[in-house]
Amino acid sequence: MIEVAALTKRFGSFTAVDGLDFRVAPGEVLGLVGPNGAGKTTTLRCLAGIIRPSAGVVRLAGHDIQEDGVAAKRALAFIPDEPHLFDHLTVEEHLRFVARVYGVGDVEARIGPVLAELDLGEKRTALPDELSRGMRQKLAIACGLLHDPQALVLDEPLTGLDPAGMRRMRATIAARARAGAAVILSSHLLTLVEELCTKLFVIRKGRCVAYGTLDGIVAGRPELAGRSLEDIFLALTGEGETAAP
Amino acid sequence: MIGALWFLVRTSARNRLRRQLLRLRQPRYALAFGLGLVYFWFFFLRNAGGARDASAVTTTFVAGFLGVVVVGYLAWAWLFGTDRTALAFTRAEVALLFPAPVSRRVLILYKLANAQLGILFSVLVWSVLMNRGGGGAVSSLMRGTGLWVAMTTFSLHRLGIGLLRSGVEEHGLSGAKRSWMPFAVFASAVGAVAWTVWSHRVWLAGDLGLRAWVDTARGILDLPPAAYVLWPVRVAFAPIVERDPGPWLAALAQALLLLALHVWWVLGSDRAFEEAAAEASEQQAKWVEQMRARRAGGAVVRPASRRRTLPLAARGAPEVALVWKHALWLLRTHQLRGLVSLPVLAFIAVFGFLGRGDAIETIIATIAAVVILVLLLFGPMTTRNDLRSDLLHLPMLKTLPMRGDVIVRAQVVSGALTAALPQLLLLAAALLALVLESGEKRVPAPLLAAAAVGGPPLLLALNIANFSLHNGVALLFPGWVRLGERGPAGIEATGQMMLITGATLLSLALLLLLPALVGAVAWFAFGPEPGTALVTALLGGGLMLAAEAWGLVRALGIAFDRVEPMQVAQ
Repeated sequence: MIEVAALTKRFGSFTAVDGLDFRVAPGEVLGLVGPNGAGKTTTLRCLAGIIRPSAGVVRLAGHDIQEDGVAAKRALAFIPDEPHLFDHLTVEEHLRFVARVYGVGDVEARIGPVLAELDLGEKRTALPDELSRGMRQKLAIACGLLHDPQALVLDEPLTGLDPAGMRRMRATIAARARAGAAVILSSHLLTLVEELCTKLFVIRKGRCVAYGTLDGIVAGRPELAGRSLEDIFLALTGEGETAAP
Repeated sequence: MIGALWFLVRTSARNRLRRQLLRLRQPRYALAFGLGLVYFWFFFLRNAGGARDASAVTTTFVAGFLGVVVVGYLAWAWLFGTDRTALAFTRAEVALLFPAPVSRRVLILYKLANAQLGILFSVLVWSVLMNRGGGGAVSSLMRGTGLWVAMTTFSLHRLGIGLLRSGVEEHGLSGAKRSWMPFAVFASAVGAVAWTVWSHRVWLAGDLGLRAWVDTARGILDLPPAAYVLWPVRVAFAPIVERDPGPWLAALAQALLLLALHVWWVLGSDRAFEEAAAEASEQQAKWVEQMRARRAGGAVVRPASRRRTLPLAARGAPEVALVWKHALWLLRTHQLRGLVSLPVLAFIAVFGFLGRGDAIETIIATIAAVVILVLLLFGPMTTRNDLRSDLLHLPMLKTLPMRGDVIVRAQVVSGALTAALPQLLLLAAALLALVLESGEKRVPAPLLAAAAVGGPPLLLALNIANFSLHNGVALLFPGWVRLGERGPAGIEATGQMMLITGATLLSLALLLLLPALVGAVAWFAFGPEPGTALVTALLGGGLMLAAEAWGLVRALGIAFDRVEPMQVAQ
C-alpha cells in the first residue's frame, strides 16, 4: 500500500509539487504521467525518501517515510530512470549487497532466478562499466526486485531496454502487481501506461489535473470519450494545441 | 576546415576562462582563489627575480630534474603504455569531428593545437620556478621558448607512443611488424644505456656519498654509447640551460629539428588513430561525465581483478554491506597501494639512517612513530573510501533502509579501519623493535606493555574521530570537498584544499582537548606506577575521544537525513 496525502515540495520560492493526494492499493498499478517538468520525478523522490517533503505525508506499507523511514524503505523498491550503480561491484556483488541491506536470507536461491528473469545470467561477473545502458537498467531493476518489495516505484523503467527486454519488463511489472505489490509507474510511453496501469494520476505544474481509472477520468470529461490516451493526456495537460502538428 | 577548428579552440578557451572568472563571484570560490594565489606566491613567486641565490632552484637543476622525469616517464610509457590522454577527444569532438570531412592529419594537428593550452601553462609555471635563479626579460624569453620546444616535443613523443602501441594492440603481430623500427630503436637505446652503466659499475661501488654517487652516475651517462642514446634528450633541453644568445640559437635550431622529426613521426603513424582516439576519448568522457554529474556517477575505477572478492553473509547488520563494499573498492583500486607505500617507504628510509650511531631498533621505532603521526593526520586525504566517494551515490544511499547515523557510521568506520590498519602494523613493529632493544636506553617493559594495550584502541579512536571530521565536512560542505577519485585542479582547488585541511586539523585539535585532559588526569592519578598510568591515560583518552566521535556521527546522521542530492551537486 502506498498512501500520499497533501504532498508538497518547495525549492526556495518554487513549488515543484503542490498538495498531491493519492493511494495505491496492493495489486494496483498507478500511472504517473505529465509533461516534462511537471513534478513527477520530484514526487517519486519524495516517495523514495531521497528528498524530504516540505509538507504532507507519505506512507509505504503503513509506515510514514519521515517518522519510520527504515521500515518504510524496507518495503520499497525505487528504480530511477538513471541507474545508480557502484562502479567497482560486479552484477552478482550488487545483488549480494542489496540482499544484506534488506536482510534477504535465501540470497543464493534468489540470485539465479532474478538474473535469469532479467537476462543477466551471463553477466554475473561484469562490472557496470562493462554493461550496456540497457543492461545497467536491468541490473538496477534486479536490485529492486530481489527483496520482493511491497511497494514498487518505477521512473521510466523501459529506458534503454531492447524490445525483448521491454516485453520482459512489462511482464515483470504485471506479475509483481498480481503478487500483491503496489506499483507506481512513471513513463512517457503512454502505450505502456495504458497496458499496465489500473489508475492514472495526471500531474501538471506540480498539481493533480486528473486521478482515477481511465474510464472514470473520461466520465468526468465527456468531450474526451472515444479519443486515444495520447489525445486525453494532451487535453488534460493543456498541451494539445502546442503539440498539434 | 582548419579555420573552423581554430575557431573551436579559440572560443572554447575563451568560454572556459569566462566561466571560471564568473565562478569567482561566489564567495567560496573567491576565497579559495585568494588563498591559492597566496600559496603560489609564497612558494613560487616570493623570490622571483631576486638576486641569484646559490640555494635557490637553479635553471640547471630544474632542467636536469625535468630531464630525469621526462626520461623516466617516456621509458615507462614505452614499456607499459601511456595513459592515452594524449589521444583523447571530448565526446562532442568525436561525435562532430570524426564523421565530418576532416582528414586524420588535420585531426591530429587539432589535437596538438589543443594540447598547447596546457603546455603554455606548464611553461609559465616552470619559467617562474627557474626565474628564481635570476636573469632578465630576454633570458626569461629564451628559457620560456626552450621550455616550450621541449614540452611540445615531449607531448608529441607521448602521442607517438600512444599511436604506436595502439597500432600494435589493434593489429597484433602485423602491427608490430609495421612498427618494428621505433620499438627496435627504443630497445637498442635501453641496451646501450644498460651496457654503459654495467661496464662502469665499479665507479659506483665503494663508500661514495649521495652527491658524489649522483655526479658519478651522471658522468657515466655522458660516456658513449649512453651519451649517443641520450643525445635527443640533451638536445631537447639544451635551449633551456643555454644563456648566451649564440649557443642558445644553435641549441634551439637543433631542438626545433628534433621537434620537426617528431611532427613527421606522429603525422606518419596515424594508421590506428581513429580507433585509439575513440577508445581513449570514451575513457576520458566517462571521467568528465562523472565529474559533471557527481550525483549520478562514480569515479572510474579500473579493477585489478574482479575475481578477487570477499564473502558477505546475507544476514546481519546491514551497515556491514557498506563496509564490505568499500573493502572491495580498496581491493580493486590503487588506494591500498597508496596506503601501504608510506610504511614501505618508511622502512626503506630506515636503511638511510643506518650507520649514524643509533641502534637499528631505535631507528625503526622512531620512523614508525613519525609515519604513524603522518598517517593519522593526513591519512584521510589519501584514503577516501567513505562518504567522500559515496556521496556521488546519494540518491541510492537515501533509499536504503538504514538510519542516517548508521550509514554515516559505516562510512566513517570503512575509512578509519583502512587508515588504522597500517598504523597498527607500524605500532607493532615499533614495539617489537623496542622490546628487542638492549642497552641503557631500553624502554621499561611496563611502559611497552601499556603502549601495547592502550595504543591500538587510542589509534582506532583517533582515526574514527579524524574520519568523522572529514566525512562531516564532505556532508556539510560538499562544494568544498573533492568527491570521488579525482577532483578539480587549479588555484581554487589548492585554496579549497588548504582551507579544508586547516579547518579539519583545528577541529581535531579541539576534539582532542577533553581526551587529553582525561588522559592527563589518569596519568597523574597513577603517577607512581608508570605502566598503569600510561595504560589508563591511553585507554581513558581513547574512550573519551570515541565518545566524542560517537556524538559527532549521531549529529552527522541527522545532517545526512536532511541533505538532498541538489545540495551535493556542485
